[in-house]
Amino acid sequence: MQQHHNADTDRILLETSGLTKVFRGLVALRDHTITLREHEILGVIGPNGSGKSTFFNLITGFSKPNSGQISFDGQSIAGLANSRIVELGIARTFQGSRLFSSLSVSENVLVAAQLRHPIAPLNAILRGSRYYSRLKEAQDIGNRLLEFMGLTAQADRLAADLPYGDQRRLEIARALATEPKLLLLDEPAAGLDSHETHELVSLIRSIRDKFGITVVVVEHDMDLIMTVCERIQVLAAGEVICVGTPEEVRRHPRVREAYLGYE
Amino acid sequence: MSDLVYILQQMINAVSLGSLYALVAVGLSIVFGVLKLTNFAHGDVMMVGAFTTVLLIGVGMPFIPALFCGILGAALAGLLIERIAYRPVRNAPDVTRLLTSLAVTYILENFGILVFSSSPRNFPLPDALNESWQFMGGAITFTNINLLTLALTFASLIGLGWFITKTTLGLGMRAASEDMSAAQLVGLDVNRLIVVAFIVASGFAGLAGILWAAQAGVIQPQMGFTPLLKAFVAAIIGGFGSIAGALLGGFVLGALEIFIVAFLPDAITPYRDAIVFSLLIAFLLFRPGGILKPNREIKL
Repeated sequence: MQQHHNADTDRILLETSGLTKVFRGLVALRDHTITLREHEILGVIGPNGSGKSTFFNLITGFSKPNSGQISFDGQSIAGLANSRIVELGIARTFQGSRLFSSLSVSENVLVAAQLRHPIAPLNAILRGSRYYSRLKEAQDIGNRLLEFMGLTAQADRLAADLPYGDQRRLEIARALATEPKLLLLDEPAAGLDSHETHELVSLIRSIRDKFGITVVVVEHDMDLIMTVCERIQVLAAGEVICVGTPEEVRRHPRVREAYLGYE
Repeated sequence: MSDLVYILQQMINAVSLGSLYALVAVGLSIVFGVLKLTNFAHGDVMMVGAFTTVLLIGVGMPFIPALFCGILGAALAGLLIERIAYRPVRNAPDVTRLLTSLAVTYILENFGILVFSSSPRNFPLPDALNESWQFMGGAITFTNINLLTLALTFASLIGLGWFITKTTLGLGMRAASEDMSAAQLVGLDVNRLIVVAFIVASGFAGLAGILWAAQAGVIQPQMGFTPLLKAFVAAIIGGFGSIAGALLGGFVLGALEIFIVAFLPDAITPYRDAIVFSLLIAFLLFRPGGILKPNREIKL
Protein backbone atom coordinates (compact mmCIF):
# COMPACT_ATOMS: atom_id res chain seq x y z
CA MET A 1 0.00 0.00 0.00
CA GLN A 2 2.72 2.42 0.96
CA GLN A 3 4.78 1.34 -2.01
CA HIS A 4 1.82 1.99 -4.24
CA HIS A 5 1.40 5.52 -3.00
CA ASN A 6 5.05 6.38 -3.19
CA ALA A 7 5.30 5.02 -6.67
CA ASP A 8 2.37 6.85 -8.22
CA THR A 9 3.56 10.37 -7.54
CA ASP A 10 6.70 12.40 -7.40
CA ARG A 11 4.72 15.58 -7.25
CA ILE A 12 6.07 18.03 -4.70
CA LEU A 13 3.36 19.26 -2.34
CA LEU A 14 5.29 21.40 0.11
CA GLU A 15 8.68 22.98 -0.19
CA THR A 16 10.49 25.29 2.17
CA SER A 17 13.83 26.92 1.53
CA GLY A 18 15.94 29.16 3.72
CA LEU A 19 13.05 29.49 6.18
CA THR A 20 14.21 31.52 9.15
CA LYS A 21 12.33 32.80 12.18
CA VAL A 22 13.86 34.97 14.89
CA PHE A 23 12.07 35.76 18.16
CA ARG A 24 13.65 38.71 19.98
CA GLY A 25 17.12 37.88 18.77
CA LEU A 26 16.66 34.18 19.43
CA VAL A 27 16.80 32.05 16.31
CA ALA A 28 13.88 29.63 16.54
CA LEU A 29 14.41 28.20 13.08
CA ARG A 30 17.39 28.79 10.80
CA ASP A 31 17.59 28.13 7.10
CA HIS A 32 14.98 25.37 7.18
CA THR A 33 14.62 23.40 3.99
CA ILE A 34 12.39 20.44 3.25
CA THR A 35 10.81 18.97 0.15
CA LEU A 36 7.65 17.00 0.80
CA ARG A 37 6.19 14.77 -1.88
CA GLU A 38 2.49 14.12 -2.21
CA HIS A 39 1.23 11.12 -0.16
CA GLU A 40 4.34 11.02 1.96
CA ILE A 41 4.35 10.63 5.74
CA LEU A 42 7.10 12.82 7.13
CA GLY A 43 8.20 12.93 10.74
CA VAL A 44 9.87 15.90 12.40
CA ILE A 45 11.70 15.19 15.64
CA GLY A 46 13.94 17.15 17.91
CA PRO A 47 14.25 18.14 21.55
CA ASN A 48 12.14 20.92 23.07
CA GLY A 49 12.93 24.29 21.53
CA SER A 50 14.43 22.71 18.44
CA GLY A 51 12.04 24.59 16.15
CA LYS A 52 9.41 21.93 15.47
CA SER A 53 6.44 24.03 16.52
CA THR A 54 7.89 27.10 14.84
CA PHE A 55 8.00 25.11 11.63
CA PHE A 56 4.28 24.29 11.96
CA ASN A 57 3.38 27.85 12.93
CA LEU A 58 5.16 29.28 9.90
CA ILE A 59 3.51 26.86 7.49
CA THR A 60 0.02 27.44 8.88
CA GLY A 61 0.32 31.21 8.97
CA PHE A 62 0.32 31.56 12.77
CA SER A 63 3.56 33.48 12.50
CA LYS A 64 5.41 35.05 9.61
CA PRO A 65 8.96 34.07 8.63
CA ASN A 66 11.77 36.65 8.77
CA SER A 67 13.10 35.22 5.54
CA GLY A 68 12.73 32.23 3.29
CA GLN A 69 10.16 30.67 1.03
CA ILE A 70 7.23 28.34 1.60
CA SER A 71 5.61 26.91 -1.46
CA PHE A 72 2.49 24.75 -1.21
CA ASP A 73 0.95 23.07 -4.22
CA GLY A 74 2.92 25.37 -6.51
CA GLN A 75 1.92 28.56 -4.71
CA SER A 76 3.92 30.76 -2.37
CA ILE A 77 2.16 30.85 1.02
CA ALA A 78 4.71 32.53 3.30
CA GLY A 79 2.95 35.26 5.27
CA LEU A 80 -0.60 34.45 4.11
CA ALA A 81 -3.40 34.65 6.72
CA ASN A 82 -4.08 31.31 8.36
CA SER A 83 -7.69 31.24 7.14
CA ARG A 84 -6.40 31.50 3.57
CA ILE A 85 -3.91 28.69 4.17
CA VAL A 86 -6.67 26.40 5.45
CA GLU A 87 -8.61 27.18 2.31
CA LEU A 88 -5.63 26.17 0.18
CA GLY A 89 -5.60 22.80 1.92
CA ILE A 90 -3.39 22.71 5.00
CA ALA A 91 -5.00 21.55 8.24
CA ARG A 92 -3.37 21.10 11.62
CA THR A 93 -3.94 19.91 15.16
CA PHE A 94 -2.41 21.42 18.28
CA GLN A 95 -0.29 20.00 21.07
CA GLY A 96 -2.95 20.63 23.66
CA SER A 97 -6.55 20.14 22.64
CA ARG A 98 -8.10 23.15 20.96
CA LEU A 99 -11.57 21.72 20.47
CA PHE A 100 -14.73 23.80 20.75
CA SER A 101 -15.49 22.23 24.11
CA SER A 102 -19.01 23.61 24.51
CA LEU A 103 -20.05 22.28 21.10
CA SER A 104 -21.14 18.71 20.52
CA VAL A 105 -18.85 16.22 18.82
CA SER A 106 -20.81 16.36 15.57
CA GLU A 107 -20.96 20.17 15.69
CA ASN A 108 -17.18 20.38 16.02
CA VAL A 109 -16.82 18.51 12.77
CA LEU A 110 -19.74 20.26 11.07
CA VAL A 111 -18.21 23.70 11.71
CA ALA A 112 -15.09 22.64 9.85
CA ALA A 113 -16.94 20.87 7.05
CA GLN A 114 -18.65 24.16 6.17
CA LEU A 115 -15.37 25.38 4.70
CA ARG A 116 -15.91 23.37 1.52
CA HIS A 117 -19.71 23.45 1.68
CA PRO A 118 -20.46 27.03 2.64
CA ILE A 119 -23.96 28.33 3.31
CA ALA A 120 -24.49 32.05 2.73
CA PRO A 121 -25.47 33.97 5.91
CA LEU A 122 -28.97 34.87 4.76
CA ASN A 123 -29.53 31.37 3.43
CA ALA A 124 -28.67 29.98 6.85
CA ILE A 125 -31.74 31.82 8.18
CA LEU A 126 -34.09 31.82 5.20
CA ARG A 127 -33.26 28.22 4.20
CA GLY A 128 -33.58 28.55 0.46
CA SER A 129 -33.13 25.89 -2.17
CA ARG A 130 -29.43 25.14 -1.74
CA TYR A 131 -29.47 25.26 2.05
CA TYR A 132 -30.52 21.68 2.70
CA SER A 133 -28.29 20.14 0.04
CA ARG A 134 -25.24 22.04 1.30
CA LEU A 135 -26.00 21.21 4.90
CA LYS A 136 -26.43 17.56 4.01
CA GLU A 137 -23.09 17.50 2.19
CA ALA A 138 -21.36 18.93 5.23
CA GLN A 139 -23.20 16.60 7.61
CA ASP A 140 -22.38 13.56 5.47
CA ILE A 141 -18.69 14.39 5.57
CA GLY A 142 -18.88 14.89 9.31
CA ASN A 143 -20.69 11.59 9.84
CA ARG A 144 -18.22 9.69 7.69
CA LEU A 145 -15.28 11.15 9.58
CA LEU A 146 -16.82 10.36 12.96
CA GLU A 147 -17.38 6.81 11.79
CA PHE A 148 -13.81 6.60 10.53
CA MET A 149 -12.58 7.76 13.93
CA GLY A 150 -14.95 5.48 15.84
CA LEU A 151 -16.73 8.46 17.40
CA THR A 152 -20.22 7.89 15.97
CA ALA A 153 -21.64 6.75 19.30
CA GLN A 154 -20.40 9.97 20.91
CA ALA A 155 -21.77 12.31 18.23
CA ASP A 156 -24.22 14.13 20.50
CA ARG A 157 -21.99 14.45 23.54
CA LEU A 158 -20.23 17.70 24.34
CA ALA A 159 -16.61 17.67 23.21
CA ALA A 160 -15.57 18.62 26.75
CA ASP A 161 -17.16 15.42 28.12
CA LEU A 162 -15.14 13.04 25.92
CA PRO A 163 -12.28 11.00 27.35
CA TYR A 164 -8.89 12.45 26.46
CA GLY A 165 -8.06 9.92 23.75
CA ASP A 166 -11.37 10.57 22.01
CA GLN A 167 -10.75 14.31 22.17
CA ARG A 168 -7.47 13.86 20.35
CA ARG A 169 -9.20 11.80 17.67
CA LEU A 170 -11.98 14.37 17.38
CA GLU A 171 -9.39 17.06 16.79
CA ILE A 172 -7.97 15.04 13.91
CA ALA A 173 -11.51 14.49 12.58
CA ARG A 174 -12.17 18.22 12.73
CA ALA A 175 -8.95 18.95 10.81
CA LEU A 176 -9.89 16.34 8.20
CA ALA A 177 -13.34 17.92 7.81
CA THR A 178 -11.70 20.90 6.11
CA GLU A 179 -10.76 18.37 3.38
CA PRO A 180 -7.04 19.18 3.39
CA LYS A 181 -4.28 18.00 1.08
CA LEU A 182 -1.77 18.23 3.88
CA LEU A 183 -2.38 17.36 7.53
CA LEU A 184 0.02 18.54 10.22
CA LEU A 185 -0.16 16.62 13.51
CA ASP A 186 1.47 18.34 16.46
CA GLU A 187 2.48 15.72 19.02
CA PRO A 188 -0.55 13.50 18.41
CA ALA A 189 0.71 10.82 20.82
CA ALA A 190 1.16 13.16 23.80
CA GLY A 191 -0.80 11.79 26.73
CA LEU A 192 -1.86 8.59 24.97
CA ASP A 193 -1.20 5.14 26.47
CA SER A 194 0.71 2.53 24.46
CA HIS A 195 -2.46 0.92 23.16
CA GLU A 196 -3.80 4.25 21.94
CA THR A 197 -0.42 5.12 20.42
CA HIS A 198 -0.51 1.82 18.56
CA GLU A 199 -3.96 2.71 17.20
CA LEU A 200 -2.65 6.12 16.20
CA VAL A 201 -0.05 4.49 13.95
CA SER A 202 -2.69 2.68 11.92
CA LEU A 203 -4.89 5.77 11.98
CA ILE A 204 -2.17 7.94 10.46
CA ARG A 205 -1.50 5.30 7.80
CA SER A 206 -5.15 5.02 6.88
CA ILE A 207 -5.53 8.81 6.69
CA ARG A 208 -2.89 8.73 3.99
CA ASP A 209 -4.10 5.56 2.28
CA LYS A 210 -7.84 6.18 2.39
CA PHE A 211 -7.97 9.91 1.81
CA GLY A 212 -4.69 10.35 -0.08
CA ILE A 213 -3.63 13.04 2.38
CA THR A 214 0.02 13.91 2.94
CA VAL A 215 0.92 13.88 6.64
CA VAL A 216 3.60 15.59 8.69
CA VAL A 217 3.97 14.42 12.30
CA VAL A 218 5.84 16.37 14.95
CA GLU A 219 6.58 14.09 17.88
CA HIS A 220 8.72 13.34 20.91
CA ASP A 221 7.74 9.69 20.78
CA MET A 222 10.58 8.14 18.74
CA ASP A 223 8.86 4.78 18.41
CA LEU A 224 5.79 6.31 16.81
CA ILE A 225 7.87 8.38 14.39
CA MET A 226 10.15 5.46 13.47
CA THR A 227 7.15 3.17 12.87
CA VAL A 228 4.85 5.40 10.90
CA CYS A 229 7.06 7.80 8.96
CA GLU A 230 8.78 7.10 5.67
CA ARG A 231 11.17 9.98 6.06
CA ILE A 232 12.26 11.83 9.13
CA GLN A 233 13.79 15.26 9.59
CA VAL A 234 15.75 15.89 12.75
CA LEU A 235 15.96 19.41 14.17
CA ALA A 236 18.13 20.69 17.00
CA ALA A 237 18.43 24.28 18.21
CA GLY A 238 16.53 25.52 15.16
CA GLU A 239 18.72 23.82 12.61
CA VAL A 240 18.24 20.81 10.40
CA ILE A 241 20.58 18.01 11.47
CA CYS A 242 19.58 15.44 8.90
CA VAL A 243 16.79 14.08 6.73
CA GLY A 244 16.38 10.47 5.73
CA THR A 245 14.62 7.16 6.18
CA PRO A 246 14.12 5.95 9.76
CA GLU A 247 17.10 3.62 9.28
CA GLU A 248 19.37 6.40 8.03
CA VAL A 249 18.30 8.74 10.81
CA ARG A 250 18.83 6.03 13.42
CA ARG A 251 22.42 5.54 12.25
CA HIS A 252 23.26 9.24 11.92
CA PRO A 253 26.02 10.12 14.40
CA ARG A 254 24.65 13.52 15.36
CA VAL A 255 21.23 12.05 16.02
CA ARG A 256 22.75 9.36 18.23
CA GLU A 257 24.54 12.15 20.01
CA ALA A 258 21.40 14.23 20.48
CA TYR A 259 19.36 11.22 21.59
CA LEU A 260 22.07 9.45 23.54
CA GLY A 261 20.78 6.33 25.18
CA TYR A 262 18.25 5.68 22.49
CA GLU A 263 18.16 2.09 21.10
CA MET B 1 -56.41 36.79 48.78
CA SER B 2 -55.39 40.34 48.06
CA ASP B 3 -51.84 39.44 49.13
CA LEU B 4 -51.79 36.72 46.54
CA VAL B 5 -53.04 39.09 43.87
CA TYR B 6 -50.39 41.62 44.86
CA ILE B 7 -47.71 38.96 44.56
CA LEU B 8 -49.06 37.96 41.17
CA GLN B 9 -48.98 41.56 39.95
CA GLN B 10 -45.40 41.94 41.17
CA MET B 11 -44.40 38.71 39.44
CA ILE B 12 -45.75 40.09 36.20
CA ASN B 13 -43.77 43.28 36.78
CA ALA B 14 -40.63 41.26 37.53
CA VAL B 15 -40.90 39.24 34.33
CA SER B 16 -41.60 42.40 32.37
CA LEU B 17 -38.58 44.28 33.73
CA GLY B 18 -36.38 41.19 33.60
CA SER B 19 -37.18 40.54 29.97
CA LEU B 20 -35.98 44.06 29.07
CA TYR B 21 -32.75 43.59 31.01
CA ALA B 22 -32.30 40.22 29.33
CA LEU B 23 -32.81 41.79 25.92
CA VAL B 24 -29.99 44.29 26.51
CA ALA B 25 -27.69 41.83 28.29
CA VAL B 26 -27.99 39.28 25.50
CA GLY B 27 -26.64 41.82 23.00
CA LEU B 28 -23.70 42.61 25.29
CA SER B 29 -22.94 38.91 25.55
CA ILE B 30 -23.09 38.31 21.81
CA VAL B 31 -20.54 41.05 21.10
CA PHE B 32 -18.37 40.03 24.04
CA GLY B 33 -18.46 36.45 22.76
CA VAL B 34 -16.89 37.16 19.39
CA LEU B 35 -14.76 40.23 20.18
CA LYS B 36 -14.01 39.81 23.91
CA LEU B 37 -14.96 43.47 24.12
CA THR B 38 -17.33 45.13 26.57
CA ASN B 39 -19.29 47.27 24.19
CA PHE B 40 -20.23 50.42 26.11
CA ALA B 41 -21.77 51.87 22.96
CA HIS B 42 -24.48 49.21 23.23
CA GLY B 43 -26.61 51.58 25.32
CA ASP B 44 -26.34 54.28 22.67
CA VAL B 45 -27.41 51.86 19.98
CA MET B 46 -30.59 51.53 22.09
CA MET B 47 -30.94 55.30 21.86
CA VAL B 48 -30.47 55.22 18.06
CA GLY B 49 -33.27 52.64 17.79
CA ALA B 50 -35.64 54.62 19.99
CA PHE B 51 -34.98 57.95 18.25
CA THR B 52 -35.39 56.39 14.80
CA THR B 53 -38.78 55.06 15.84
CA VAL B 54 -39.88 58.35 17.39
CA LEU B 55 -38.79 60.34 14.33
CA LEU B 56 -40.66 58.00 11.99
CA ILE B 57 -43.80 58.14 14.13
CA GLY B 58 -43.37 61.92 13.98
CA VAL B 59 -43.59 61.88 10.19
CA GLY B 60 -46.74 59.79 10.32
CA MET B 61 -45.55 56.19 10.23
CA PRO B 62 -47.70 53.80 12.30
CA PHE B 63 -46.09 52.42 15.48
CA ILE B 64 -45.41 48.83 14.42
CA PRO B 65 -43.61 49.60 11.12
CA ALA B 66 -41.72 52.41 12.90
CA LEU B 67 -40.64 49.91 15.54
CA PHE B 68 -39.20 47.56 12.93
CA CYS B 69 -37.46 50.46 11.17
CA GLY B 70 -36.01 51.45 14.56
CA ILE B 71 -34.59 47.94 14.95
CA LEU B 72 -33.09 48.16 11.46
CA GLY B 73 -31.67 51.60 12.25
CA ALA B 74 -30.00 50.25 15.37
CA ALA B 75 -28.62 47.26 13.45
CA LEU B 76 -27.20 49.63 10.85
CA ALA B 77 -25.63 51.76 13.59
CA GLY B 78 -24.01 48.65 15.06
CA LEU B 79 -22.72 47.66 11.64
CA LEU B 80 -21.13 51.10 11.14
CA ILE B 81 -19.66 51.19 14.66
CA GLU B 82 -17.96 47.84 14.04
CA ARG B 83 -16.68 48.83 10.62
CA ILE B 84 -15.50 52.34 11.46
CA ALA B 85 -14.44 52.18 15.11
CA TYR B 86 -13.81 48.61 16.25
CA ARG B 87 -12.32 46.87 13.24
CA PRO B 88 -9.21 49.09 13.02
CA VAL B 89 -8.36 48.34 16.67
CA ARG B 90 -9.42 44.70 16.65
CA ASN B 91 -5.93 43.39 17.38
CA ALA B 92 -4.96 46.26 19.67
CA PRO B 93 -4.50 45.78 23.43
CA ASP B 94 -7.67 45.45 25.53
CA VAL B 95 -7.30 48.92 27.03
CA THR B 96 -7.26 50.51 23.58
CA ARG B 97 -10.39 48.65 22.56
CA LEU B 98 -12.15 49.52 25.79
CA LEU B 99 -11.33 53.20 25.37
CA THR B 100 -12.49 53.05 21.75
CA SER B 101 -15.85 51.76 22.89
CA LEU B 102 -16.10 54.58 25.47
CA ALA B 103 -15.20 57.09 22.76
CA VAL B 104 -17.97 55.76 20.53
CA THR B 105 -20.36 56.17 23.47
CA TYR B 106 -19.47 59.82 23.94
CA ILE B 107 -19.58 60.56 20.23
CA LEU B 108 -23.04 59.04 19.85
CA GLU B 109 -24.44 60.68 22.99
CA ASN B 110 -23.11 64.09 22.06
CA PHE B 111 -24.36 63.69 18.53
CA GLY B 112 -27.76 62.89 20.03
CA ILE B 113 -27.62 65.98 22.24
CA LEU B 114 -26.56 68.13 19.28
CA VAL B 115 -29.44 66.96 17.12
CA PHE B 116 -32.22 66.47 19.67
CA SER B 117 -30.98 68.53 22.67
CA SER B 118 -30.55 66.84 26.01
CA SER B 119 -34.05 67.52 27.28
CA PRO B 120 -36.42 64.56 27.37
CA ARG B 121 -39.15 64.25 24.77
CA ASN B 122 -42.42 62.41 24.91
CA PHE B 123 -42.57 59.04 23.32
CA PRO B 124 -45.60 59.29 21.01
CA LEU B 125 -47.19 55.98 21.91
CA PRO B 126 -50.51 55.36 20.12
CA ASP B 127 -53.51 55.52 22.46
CA ALA B 128 -54.44 51.94 21.70
CA LEU B 129 -51.22 50.75 23.33
CA ASN B 130 -51.87 52.76 26.47
CA GLU B 131 -55.20 51.06 27.05
CA SER B 132 -55.07 48.94 30.14
CA TRP B 133 -56.59 45.65 31.16
CA GLN B 134 -57.84 45.23 34.66
CA PHE B 135 -58.50 42.03 36.52
CA MET B 136 -59.78 41.26 40.00
CA GLY B 137 -61.38 44.66 40.32
CA GLY B 138 -58.27 46.56 39.28
CA ALA B 139 -55.86 44.69 41.55
CA ILE B 140 -54.02 43.38 38.53
CA THR B 141 -53.43 45.87 35.75
CA PHE B 142 -51.43 45.81 32.63
CA THR B 143 -51.41 47.90 29.52
CA ASN B 144 -51.20 46.89 25.90
CA ILE B 145 -47.61 48.14 25.71
CA ASN B 146 -46.77 45.81 28.64
CA LEU B 147 -48.26 42.93 26.69
CA LEU B 148 -46.54 43.94 23.47
CA THR B 149 -43.21 44.22 25.29
CA LEU B 150 -43.56 40.74 26.74
CA ALA B 151 -44.67 39.27 23.41
CA LEU B 152 -41.84 40.89 21.43
CA THR B 153 -39.10 40.13 23.95
CA PHE B 154 -40.09 36.49 24.25
CA ALA B 155 -40.53 36.07 20.50
CA SER B 156 -37.13 37.63 19.81
CA LEU B 157 -35.37 35.66 22.55
CA ILE B 158 -36.84 32.42 21.24
CA GLY B 159 -35.78 33.48 17.74
CA LEU B 160 -32.28 34.11 19.04
CA GLY B 161 -32.18 30.69 20.68
CA TRP B 162 -33.15 29.14 17.37
CA PHE B 163 -30.56 31.17 15.50
CA ILE B 164 -27.75 30.27 17.89
CA THR B 165 -28.50 26.58 18.24
CA LYS B 166 -30.15 25.59 14.98
CA THR B 167 -28.44 27.52 12.20
CA THR B 168 -25.00 27.03 10.71
CA LEU B 169 -24.33 30.74 11.26
CA GLY B 170 -25.12 30.42 14.96
CA LEU B 171 -22.91 27.35 15.12
CA GLY B 172 -20.04 29.36 13.66
CA MET B 173 -20.67 32.14 16.17
CA ARG B 174 -20.55 29.71 19.08
CA ALA B 175 -17.30 28.26 17.76
CA ALA B 176 -15.74 31.69 17.23
CA SER B 177 -16.87 32.83 20.69
CA GLU B 178 -15.06 29.94 22.25
CA ASP B 179 -11.76 30.04 20.40
CA MET B 180 -11.25 32.61 17.68
CA SER B 181 -7.98 31.26 16.33
CA ALA B 182 -9.22 27.66 16.29
CA ALA B 183 -12.23 28.99 14.39
CA GLN B 184 -9.96 30.58 11.80
CA LEU B 185 -8.02 27.34 11.68
CA VAL B 186 -11.06 25.41 10.48
CA GLY B 187 -11.72 28.11 7.91
CA LEU B 188 -14.52 30.14 9.50
CA ASP B 189 -14.89 33.62 8.04
CA VAL B 190 -14.33 35.53 11.24
CA ASN B 191 -14.98 38.97 9.74
CA ARG B 192 -18.37 37.87 8.57
CA LEU B 193 -19.24 36.30 11.92
CA ILE B 194 -18.31 39.50 13.74
CA VAL B 195 -20.45 41.58 11.39
CA VAL B 196 -23.39 39.22 11.92
CA ALA B 197 -22.86 39.37 15.68
CA PHE B 198 -22.99 43.18 15.62
CA ILE B 199 -26.12 43.24 13.46
CA VAL B 200 -27.93 40.80 15.74
CA ALA B 201 -26.74 42.39 19.01
CA SER B 202 -27.56 45.90 17.81
CA GLY B 203 -30.97 44.86 16.53
CA PHE B 204 -31.67 43.54 20.02
CA ALA B 205 -30.40 46.79 21.53
CA GLY B 206 -32.70 48.73 19.19
CA LEU B 207 -35.74 46.68 20.18
CA ALA B 208 -34.87 47.05 23.84
CA GLY B 209 -34.38 50.81 23.47
CA ILE B 210 -37.74 51.29 21.76
CA LEU B 211 -39.62 49.19 24.31
CA TRP B 212 -37.79 50.79 27.22
CA ALA B 213 -38.66 54.29 25.97
CA ALA B 214 -42.22 53.28 25.14
CA GLN B 215 -42.75 51.96 28.68
CA ALA B 216 -41.13 55.01 30.25
CA GLY B 217 -42.97 57.38 27.91
CA VAL B 218 -39.91 59.57 27.33
CA ILE B 219 -36.70 59.51 25.30
CA GLN B 220 -33.48 61.43 25.66
CA PRO B 221 -29.94 61.01 24.29
CA GLN B 222 -28.48 59.50 27.47
CA MET B 223 -31.36 57.06 27.90
CA GLY B 224 -29.09 54.08 27.19
CA PHE B 225 -26.84 54.55 30.18
CA THR B 226 -28.95 53.09 32.98
CA PRO B 227 -30.18 50.04 31.06
CA LEU B 228 -26.62 49.36 29.88
CA LEU B 229 -25.33 49.44 33.44
CA LYS B 230 -28.13 47.17 34.63
CA ALA B 231 -27.63 44.80 31.72
CA PHE B 232 -23.94 44.67 32.57
CA VAL B 233 -24.83 43.66 36.13
CA ALA B 234 -27.31 41.10 34.77
CA ALA B 235 -24.72 39.62 32.44
CA ILE B 236 -22.18 39.25 35.24
CA ILE B 237 -24.69 37.75 37.65
CA GLY B 238 -25.74 35.21 35.03
CA GLY B 239 -22.29 34.46 33.65
CA PHE B 240 -20.50 36.97 31.46
CA GLY B 241 -20.02 36.00 27.86
CA SER B 242 -22.72 33.35 27.92
CA ILE B 243 -26.02 34.07 26.22
CA ALA B 244 -27.92 31.77 28.55
CA GLY B 245 -26.22 33.56 31.45
CA ALA B 246 -27.36 36.94 30.13
CA LEU B 247 -30.94 35.71 29.94
CA LEU B 248 -30.86 34.23 33.39
CA GLY B 249 -29.13 37.28 34.86
CA GLY B 250 -31.68 39.61 33.26
CA PHE B 251 -34.62 37.84 34.85
CA VAL B 252 -32.88 37.42 38.21
CA LEU B 253 -32.06 41.14 38.30
CA GLY B 254 -35.59 42.12 37.26
CA ALA B 255 -37.05 39.91 39.99
CA LEU B 256 -34.62 41.26 42.58
CA GLU B 257 -35.37 44.90 41.83
CA ILE B 258 -39.12 44.37 41.93
CA PHE B 259 -38.76 42.39 45.15
CA ILE B 260 -36.81 45.23 46.79
CA VAL B 261 -39.36 47.81 45.75
CA ALA B 262 -42.50 45.79 46.36
CA PHE B 263 -41.80 43.70 49.43
CA LEU B 264 -39.12 45.38 51.50
CA PRO B 265 -39.87 48.28 53.88
CA ASP B 266 -40.19 51.68 52.25
CA ALA B 267 -37.07 52.87 54.04
CA ILE B 268 -34.98 50.41 52.03
CA THR B 269 -36.53 51.10 48.63
CA PRO B 270 -34.34 54.13 47.79
CA TYR B 271 -31.29 51.90 48.18
CA ARG B 272 -32.40 49.61 45.36
CA ASP B 273 -29.48 50.43 43.07
CA ALA B 274 -27.01 50.30 45.95
CA ILE B 275 -28.19 46.79 46.77
CA VAL B 276 -27.98 45.74 43.12
CA PHE B 277 -24.44 47.05 42.71
CA SER B 278 -23.36 45.54 46.02
CA LEU B 279 -24.56 42.25 44.65
CA LEU B 280 -22.47 42.89 41.54
CA ILE B 281 -19.38 43.47 43.68
CA ALA B 282 -20.12 40.33 45.66
CA PHE B 283 -20.36 38.31 42.46
CA LEU B 284 -17.15 39.80 41.07
CA LEU B 285 -15.36 38.93 44.29
CA PHE B 286 -16.73 35.51 45.08
CA ARG B 287 -18.14 34.08 41.91
CA PRO B 288 -16.78 36.02 38.93
CA GLY B 289 -18.05 33.38 36.54
CA GLY B 290 -21.65 34.17 37.53
CA ILE B 291 -24.44 31.74 38.37
CA LEU B 292 -23.73 29.59 35.31
CA LYS B 293 -19.98 29.85 35.78
CA PRO B 294 -18.84 29.54 32.19
CA ASN B 295 -15.22 28.43 31.78
CA ARG B 296 -14.00 31.86 31.06
CA GLU B 297 -12.24 34.55 32.96
CA ILE B 298 -13.84 37.95 33.08
CA LYS B 299 -11.98 40.46 31.03
CA LEU B 300 -13.22 43.98 30.47
